[in-house]
Order: sequence, then structure tokens, then C-alpha cells
Amino acid sequence: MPDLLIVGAGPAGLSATNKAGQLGLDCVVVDENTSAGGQYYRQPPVAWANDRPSDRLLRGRAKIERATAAATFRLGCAVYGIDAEHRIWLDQDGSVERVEPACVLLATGAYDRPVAFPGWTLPGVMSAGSAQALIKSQQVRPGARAVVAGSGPFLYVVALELLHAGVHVIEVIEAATVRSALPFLPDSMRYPARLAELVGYALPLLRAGVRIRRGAMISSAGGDQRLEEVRVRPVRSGANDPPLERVIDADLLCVGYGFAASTELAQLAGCTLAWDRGLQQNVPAYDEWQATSADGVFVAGEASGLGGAPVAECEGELAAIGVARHLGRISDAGAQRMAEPIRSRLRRLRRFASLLPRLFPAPPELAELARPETIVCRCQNVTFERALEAVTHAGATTLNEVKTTTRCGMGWCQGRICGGLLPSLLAQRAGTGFDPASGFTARNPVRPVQVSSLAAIGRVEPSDHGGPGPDHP
Amino acid sequence: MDASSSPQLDRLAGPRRGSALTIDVDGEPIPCFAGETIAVAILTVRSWISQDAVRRRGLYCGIGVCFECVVAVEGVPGIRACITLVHEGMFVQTRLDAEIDA
Ligand SMILES: Cc1cc2nc3c(=O)[nH]c(=O)nc-3n(C[C@H](O)[C@H](O)[C@H](O)COP(=O)(O)OP(=O)(O)OC[C@H]3O[C@@H](n4cnc5c(N)ncnc54)[C@H](O)[C@@H]3O)c2cc1C
Ligand code: FES
Repeated sequence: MPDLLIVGAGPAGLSATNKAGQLGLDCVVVDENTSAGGQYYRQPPVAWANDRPSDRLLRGRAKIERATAAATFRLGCAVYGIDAEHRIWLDQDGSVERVEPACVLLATGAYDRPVAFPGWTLPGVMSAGSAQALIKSQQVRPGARAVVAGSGPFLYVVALELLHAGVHVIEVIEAATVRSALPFLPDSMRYPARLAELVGYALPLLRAGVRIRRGAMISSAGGDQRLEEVRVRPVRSGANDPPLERVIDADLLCVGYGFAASTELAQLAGCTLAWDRGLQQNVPAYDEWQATSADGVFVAGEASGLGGAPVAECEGELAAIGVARHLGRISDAGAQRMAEPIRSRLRRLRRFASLLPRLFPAPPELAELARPETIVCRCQNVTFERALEAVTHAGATTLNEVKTTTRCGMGWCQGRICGGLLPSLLAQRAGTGFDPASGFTARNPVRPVQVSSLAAIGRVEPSDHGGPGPDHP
Repeated sequence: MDASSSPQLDRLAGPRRGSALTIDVDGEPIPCFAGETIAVAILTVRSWISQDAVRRRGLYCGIGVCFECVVAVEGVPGIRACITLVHEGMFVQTRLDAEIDA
């Protein structure tokens, strides 16, 4: 059995792999994607020729090549379960297996934070990251006329990529304003290069005639069975007058109001969680070696808090050093010596990263958008009205209680989407008592797995943290 | 074809793709290329991936997290079209009725 099993081959997982290789650890890397790279270094299929690879793509490819030489890679392979002894259950194309590594690194990344507004389930409305993935790994044009709405630098990155893919980008709808950012400008000024980078994304958009609206947000999306129009409103409006809406014809709406960390494996491994202000969710707590409270379980990258790819890479390296130290392969003094330069770089990076959610917060007004008939659980098509009734009529104060009466969170996605949006939505709209920090209890298996294949290796036991889990939802 | 069903996606002209192949979507042959996902193959011919009892469904997260795009492949339900690659002759079902929507 390996010294270290790494879940996730993104920036964090790849950096950890390369460091683990240098330290002589026997390492296995698992990613359910068919290409390594994660979100930041997303790669097109290997066999596809590409005449004009971007800088980032090339850096990613070099990093992946080094990592592939240093460890065993299992791509297209999902981790569908983990227990409190950090035994790991894998599913590769329907054949399952159990691995018992000495240590585990959870580098499972993040996903676009879901926001429910009228029409958000129409085909053509997608997360900003989805549009980016279509362009970068599948080399397709995700739509003809696009609106990009959300908050933060990622919007401009995606808008620019859409533009280069030949999409007519009509508007970028940014929730933040210069005024809302003002209190943080003095701090931001200490990072001129990073600020210049942000401006560097916006300028080509403006030059191409893309309108950038600040202080605005989505109001709704409409169309007959697919997206045809996007309604946009100011973030703030007078207490009594309904916000003024504008209508934009579009067949693609990319939504990016920040990210949510993928934490279910950490929860199932029994890691202690802590509230993250930037993400507005509970994430695994970790020490100066990226070790969680669960013995032998480490975490790195966006799975444990925002930071972006450079932070994820530093954390990945630190975690690999932490694992080698934990297993007694290097001395504590040696580990400290190796870690020191990484930690000082990390401190600088994190200071800037912590500014971003303050410069570009997701506006609380987003919770005003859902109407009674708006779907909040996409898997089970549960409406907001039903979730609200669970609180106002049935007296639910936590997400788990909402689940039992509405089936929210019982679908294929295991509540990753409705679990990301309901806590703040119900806390704001239900009036009383709902706990905005409550979440669904994670359950094994975290990915659907065929019941027939489970017999061979023993089913992943629902842990104390997990409660009884179905074989699939 | 009416506007509501015209394709969501176009292949970009630049890159050379994998070899041409055909998948079977609810009995209809759909041409595509090795290396493409099921989602891309379907969305280059129409505007939605699947249909459940309530609505048409497309892509949402695009990275395997939300399961909005699930279809059945060779009769196995819960397969994410956005991260699953096509292969020659693959049989895909996109009507999420009671039988395949577990
Ligand atoms: C869609 C999207 C696009 C983004 N694009 C950018 C960008 O262009 N620029 C930028 O600066 N930042 C971007 N980000 C932010 C990004 O999260 C970080 O910059 C960086 O990719 C984080 O690295 P990571 O290694 O922590 O996680 P990721 O890069 O997200 O890698 C996590 C990996 O874990 C795998 N995984 C998760 N769960 C399992 C499981 N159960 N079994 C098997 N594998 C699993 C995933 O498939 C994934 O490959 C994006 C984020 C998202 C969600
Ligand atoms: S679109 Fe979210 S899993 Fe495929």
C-alpha cells in the first residue's frame, strides 16, 4: 500500500506529488477527470493537436509530466468513499477497489458557488467555470451571445476566454463597485503587480466593446426551454421601489459569484471543520503542515479555503513535507528547514488572497431573487416554496431537517448544489431561526456507484460522521 | 429546427480532434470525435442534454460536481455527461424517466 494517496490532480495535488517524489515517498494520485491539471491547468485531450498552446497550458503540461514520472496516476477514477481510518474506495469505470494508504492528501478543489434565481435551470445558463472548461478542454464555442455575471477577477478571465473563442460577449455584470471596494484599496495598493493583472483582463474587453456594468447583478433568466434573455438589475434599490430591470438577448449566461470548497471527503474522514469567512462555509481546519485533526489526513488547495492556484501549490508542497515528516522519513529539523521558504511565500500570497472576497463580495441581495416556484434542488426539482415551508411550517432550523421533509439534497449530487445555496437563502428569507452555518451531513458514497460492484471489497461503512448512506441516491 | 432546439455549442476550427466516431443517443446516431465528452457531442446537435419529468437539462457546473448532466450509458444511470468521454457505438439514454432516474 502507498505511503501517500493524493485525491485531486490540480495545482495542489500536482505540487504535492512533485515534492513527495523528491522526498522518496511512494505516491498514488487519483482524479476522476480523464486529464490531470485540475481547474487551473485544465488540459485538452492529449491526442488533440494544438497549434497555439497558452503559457499556462504549457506550464501545466510540464508540471504534469514531472508528476507522472514521480507517482502512479489513476485518471478517470473517482474516490467514492473514505472512512474514519482513511481507507479509500475507488471506482474506475465501474470496477471498484479499496486502498489503505499510510496517509491521504485531500486536494479536491472547489466549484462555482451556486446561486438560485428564476430561470437558472434553463439550458444555456451555466457556471462561469463550465464555460471555461468547454473552451479549454473541449475547444468549443459555448454559445453565440453571452452575458457574464458575478463578482471578482474570474469573471474577466472567463469573459476574455469567451471573446477569444469567438463568442459575442455583450456585457460583464459585476456586483462590486469602486465605492464598495474603496475601504480595501489602501491594502490592495500594496500589491501593484496583482492589481495590474486585474486591469490587464479588463482592458482588452473594453477595447473589444464589451460593456462592464458595476453594481449590477442578475435578476432572472428567461426563455422557452432554453435561455433566450437575461434580466439585469442594480444590486441595491430603494426600499420600496422594485429594482429597474434591463433585458439582454443571450443564449449563454455564465454565472460566477465565487467558489465553494469540496469538503465531503474531509467530513467523512472525521476532520474537524472551521468556519471560513471568505467562503462562508465550514472547511477542514489544518495545522502548519496542512495536517487535519484526523491522523494521517492532510488537506491542500481550494478544498480548505480560497487562495488561487499559487496558494494551492505552496500548500501542496507543504503537505508533502508534512507527510514525510509524519512518516518519519525526514527529521523535524529538516522538514522545518524545507518548509520555511514555502511558508514565507505562502504568507504573502494569503494576504492578497484574503483581500479578494472583500473587494468582490457576493452580494447578500442574491438571496432576494428566488421566487416560490424557483427550483432550489436541481436533482429532485424541489422548489423554493417547499424548502421555505419546511422552515416556516415544519420548523426546520438546519439543512438536515429540511432534507427529511423535502428530499432536497437526496439526489445524485448529494446536496452539493442546494447545500451551497440554501443556508443563506433560508436564513434570509424564512425570517426566523434557520442556522446559516448548517450544512448537509456528508454521506458515503460521495459518488454514485453500482451496487453490484460493492460486494467484492466490502461496502464503505457509513461512519459516525456519515449516518446511514444509501448505495446511491 | 426551431430556436429552442438549435445547438448550444460549435466546435472551434483550430485544433485537430481525435478520430471521427458515432454514438447512439436514444436511437439517433450522433457524429463526434474521440476525446470529446458526451455533453459536447449532444450539445453540438441540440440545446439540451437530457429531459426529466419537469424540464430539459443542460450543463451547469461543467466539472462533474452538480450531476445536472446525468444520462444513462449502456443502461447504467447517473453517468455525468460533462466528464465522460465518448467511444464508438456508445449507447446513451437521455430521457430521465422513472426507469433510469433512480
Ligand atoms: C471551474 C473552475 C475554473 C477555475 N478557473 C480558474 C482560472 O482560470 N484561474 C484561476 O486562477 N483560478 C481558477 N479557478 C480557481 C481554482 O479552483 C484554483 O485556482 C485552483 O485550480 C485550485 O487548485 P486545487 O488543486 O486546489 O483544486 P482543483 O484544480 O480544483 O483540482 C481538484 C481536483 O480534484 C478532483 N476531485 C475532486 N473530488 C474528487 C473525487 N471524489 N474523486 C476523484 N477526483 C476528485 C477534481 O476532478 C479536480 O481535478 C477555477 C475554479 C473552478 C471551480
Ligand atoms: S454539469 Fe455538473 S456534473 Fe456535469
